[in-house]
Amino acid sequence: MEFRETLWKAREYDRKAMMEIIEMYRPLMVKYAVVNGRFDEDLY
Amino acid sequence: MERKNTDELRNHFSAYVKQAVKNTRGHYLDKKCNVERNETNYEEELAVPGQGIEELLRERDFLSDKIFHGVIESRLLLDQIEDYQLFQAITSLAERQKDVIVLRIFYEKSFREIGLIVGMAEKKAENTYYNAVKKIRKILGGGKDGV
Repeated sequence: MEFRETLWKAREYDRKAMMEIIEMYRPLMVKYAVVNGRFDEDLY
Repeated sequence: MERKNTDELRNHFSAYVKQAVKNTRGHYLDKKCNVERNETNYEEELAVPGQGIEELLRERDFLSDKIFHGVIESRLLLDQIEDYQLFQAITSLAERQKDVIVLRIFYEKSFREIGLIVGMAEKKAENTYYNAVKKIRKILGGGKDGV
């Protein structure tokens, strides 16, 4: 699915599109959930 | 042209997400840092050198008196929870778990202080708290975002 379309669908609460966006940015979220070398689950 | 627009949109959105994640992280760490600092200060206050066992017992009695009033107040606090599901979840907890949750969340007590108040070890107070949170999350039917 085209990114623009996915994003628009996610804005309309389309579950599949929302999951796709979350998956797309999961590495970023994981990266920022690490504090002092430890993964902080609550932060994630 | 269309491709370029899409890439641009993706870049903008990625920058937005990255900034949002960074801001959320900052707020979370600030809050966590404040909680830890307050707890540490309190523990330092508690660790008075040369404090005898009688003094500790007196302190425990004093804190036990406080919990009595605290629990009474906690009923009023719990009654103010507007989310019916959350209210049900908290009130369905065992009395001990409820006490620990109320002391931790409403009264912002450290686990050491909670342990002294309800008469259990600091570690057990911590475990009771996290088990209660887990139970609430389960009742609310969610994962870590359920609360």
